[in-house]
Amino acid sequence: MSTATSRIDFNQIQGPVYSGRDRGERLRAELDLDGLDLAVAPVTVEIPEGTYTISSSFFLGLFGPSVAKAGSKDAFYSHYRFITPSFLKDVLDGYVTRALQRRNLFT
Amino acid sequence: MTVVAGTTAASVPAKGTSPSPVPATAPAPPSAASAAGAPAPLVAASASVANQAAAASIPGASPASSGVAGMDLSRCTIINQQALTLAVCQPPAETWWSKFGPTVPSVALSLLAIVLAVRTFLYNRSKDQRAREQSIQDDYWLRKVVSPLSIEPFLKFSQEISRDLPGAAGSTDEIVQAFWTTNVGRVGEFEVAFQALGLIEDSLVQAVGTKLESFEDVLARYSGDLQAHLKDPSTAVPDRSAASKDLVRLTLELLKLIQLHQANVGGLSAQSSAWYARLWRSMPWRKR
Repeated sequence: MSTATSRIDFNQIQGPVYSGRDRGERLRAELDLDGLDLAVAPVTVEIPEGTYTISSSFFLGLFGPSVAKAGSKDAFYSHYRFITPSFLKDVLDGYVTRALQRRNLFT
Repeated sequence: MTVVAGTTAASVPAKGTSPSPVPATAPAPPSAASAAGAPAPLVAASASVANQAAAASIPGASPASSGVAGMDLSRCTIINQQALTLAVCQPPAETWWSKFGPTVPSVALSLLAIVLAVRTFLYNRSKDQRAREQSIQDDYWLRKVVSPLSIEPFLKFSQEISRDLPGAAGSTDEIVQAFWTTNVGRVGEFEVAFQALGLIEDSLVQAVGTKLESFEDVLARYSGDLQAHLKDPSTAVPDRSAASKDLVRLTLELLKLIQLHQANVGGLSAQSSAWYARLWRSMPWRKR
């Protein structure tokens, strides 16, 4: 099994506004995040400084199932390592919290 | 052998017809049938009938076969007495239809009345149960718990955000960014608060969550487009009025989900009701 770090670069994804659950889910399928979830190697997620907004629907469409599979914030962040502008750190952290709340509510 | 008046050969009914009651000078022998109210048996006496019985050497009462011209004596009993011979005939047997046919309409109406009575009972019971459920949900859980926790604060928040949405004039990139990050956090808090709807209906939590996501999408797109314009004025100015209207519309749609659920307590879920409403709106005859 490959241990090379995988990369998700938001510069490759049309921005700088990222919104819509459908868009997030389509991107998840394109990037095969289901496979990345099972990979041993961690995944680096690079979000460029020029990003304006990322909505919760987009983030949860893209990473929601991965958060649910991880089961906790620590487990998710140890597998998906985010390099983001500072103003987005707390915002994305809030989205991860929401994903975990929904997992607990609907399972 | 004495022939009873009214029972001469000329007065005997033609063969194949039902024998009609014949007045007799001798009193008719009492029978169990007439005591029960059944038609009086035909009493006939004739020399030839008596002769038949005598010829058959059957003393006393006996069933007689047809012997008198035109008269079916298969249902008759011949009673030979010393000075008199009597034929006691029973009326023809009734068929099932002739017996019960006249009662069919009244029986059918009775059955219908029973079915309607049972149906009315069941309907009243379900109506009372539904009213009780609605009272518990509406009076207590919604008004006293869910509404103060989530609906009322969200309404206030929606009004404020629509009013305070930054425009291109007088805004900077940092102001817009701060506006967005602050309100995204608040929408997240409302998502938690609306989970109280799970006390009423689980599917309502998911449906309301989807509306909140759409609300946040409008906020994210407007804020992002405004920042892009502020950084590069050559890009299009986002429509503040349209964004504000979208936020109000999504707020009303969210409230409508809850209203729809309340109207259908005991019936369909909020999602099912919304699905049926969309289906109805998509019908061809509704498109003009």
